[in-house]
Amino acid sequence: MISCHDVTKSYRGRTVVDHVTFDVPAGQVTGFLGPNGSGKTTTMRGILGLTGLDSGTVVVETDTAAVPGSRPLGATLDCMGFRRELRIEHALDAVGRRHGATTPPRELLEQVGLDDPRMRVGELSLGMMQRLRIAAALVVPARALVLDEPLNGLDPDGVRWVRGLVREHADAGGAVLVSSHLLNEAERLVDRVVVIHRGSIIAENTLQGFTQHHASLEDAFFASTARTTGDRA
Amino acid sequence: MTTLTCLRADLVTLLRSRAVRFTVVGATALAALLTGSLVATSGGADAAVDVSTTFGQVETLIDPITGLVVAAMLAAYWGSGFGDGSILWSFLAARSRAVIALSALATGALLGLTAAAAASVTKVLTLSIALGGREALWWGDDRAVLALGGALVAGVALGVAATAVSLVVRHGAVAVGLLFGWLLLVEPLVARLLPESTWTWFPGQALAAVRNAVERADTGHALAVVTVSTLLLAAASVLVTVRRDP
Repeated sequence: MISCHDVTKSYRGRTVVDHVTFDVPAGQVTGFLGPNGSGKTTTMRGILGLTGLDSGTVVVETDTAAVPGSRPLGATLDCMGFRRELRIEHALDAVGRRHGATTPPRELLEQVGLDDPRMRVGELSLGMMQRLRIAAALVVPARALVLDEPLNGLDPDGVRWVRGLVREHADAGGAVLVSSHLLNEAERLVDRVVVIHRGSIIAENTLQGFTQHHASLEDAFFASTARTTGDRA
Repeated sequence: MTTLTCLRADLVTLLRSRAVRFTVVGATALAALLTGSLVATSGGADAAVDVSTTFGQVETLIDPITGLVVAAMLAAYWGSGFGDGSILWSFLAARSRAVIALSALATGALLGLTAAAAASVTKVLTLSIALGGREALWWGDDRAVLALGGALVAGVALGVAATAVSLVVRHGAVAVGLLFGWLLLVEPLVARLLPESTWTWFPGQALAAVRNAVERADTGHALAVVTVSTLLLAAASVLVTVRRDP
């Protein structure tokens, strides 16, 4: 489980994450939704320790002993990349070596559907790059996954594959936090929803609870963000 | 992730990079080419060559050029890690951010050392071949140890400095610009405005003195200046890496 409590982050006097509190329970997929610039990525960077927080705490409670050799967090953010001149197997190996991975890179690449390990990173399409990022998040078994826009650039086959991967991880007792702008896809992916808008959490509910008065997740999302915008106006 | 794990990963990745391989091979080839050219222009193997002058030219020209080529590559390499986001995986794996900087600096030192050693061996071999064994190999005496030691120390210092600058500014092109701007423009210009006795206080001038240890009497002082300025840059890079978010 990942617990964010009262997390705040400002850049040059502008508060981008404002006293954010939410949980990512184990065994469930939590969707982290919000418009552009709402503070999703900053919050995720804070969870991963890539961004220092002004205040608040992030606690990652995982039973790493349950999976020998596992680590607490596996993650991929949009800003995480690889050296363009490297072969993809070497790029993945570079990540694996840092995390003490034991799975051979070629095996992982096969798992994520990248068949030619000798391709250069610079030759990858957007979707292939996304698959490589996800492979890097999986180099060592992790009890909690933080995935920033994992569906970006993926073809329908890739979207289905990510959906299966995420579900499998949650069913095995792991916690998953996924951000996405693709609300239709997110609706098929998540069990819970956390909505952030202008740096504040405006909704935290089960998918069913969040959408019960709306036709879809998209409708519920727009209703909640419009309500908040109206409240603030 | 320990510093050693990170260092191993950094070294393997660095060696797998085409840019690095091309740079090291290119710098070595350049050393051979320049050494051969200098011997040829000073009379070639058959003529009465002023060998000591040729050696002097080799020392003062080739080491700085190969050193700068490797330093530029290192600065660009580490800077690009921030540009493409590949360094973020290290930030994710490391419990302490200092590990990332220390590993990068050690990698820079090792590559600087290797490149300087390769350039020195290339120089010696090229000179031996070009002079056809006509002259006694001057590197068989104490001066050789001094010359090789100076080249290696300078290589390490330049490798560490290039890596440190890149870790501080986090941009390959800016790091290369700053490094070259300082060594080739700012320092020579400022040095011209000041008395010659103060020159060895400048890191770049001190580096040249260390590199040219055979001919210079002020090597000890220069070595101290190089060591202190390199350590200061390294400390700044560790501090920035620890305190500034990637």
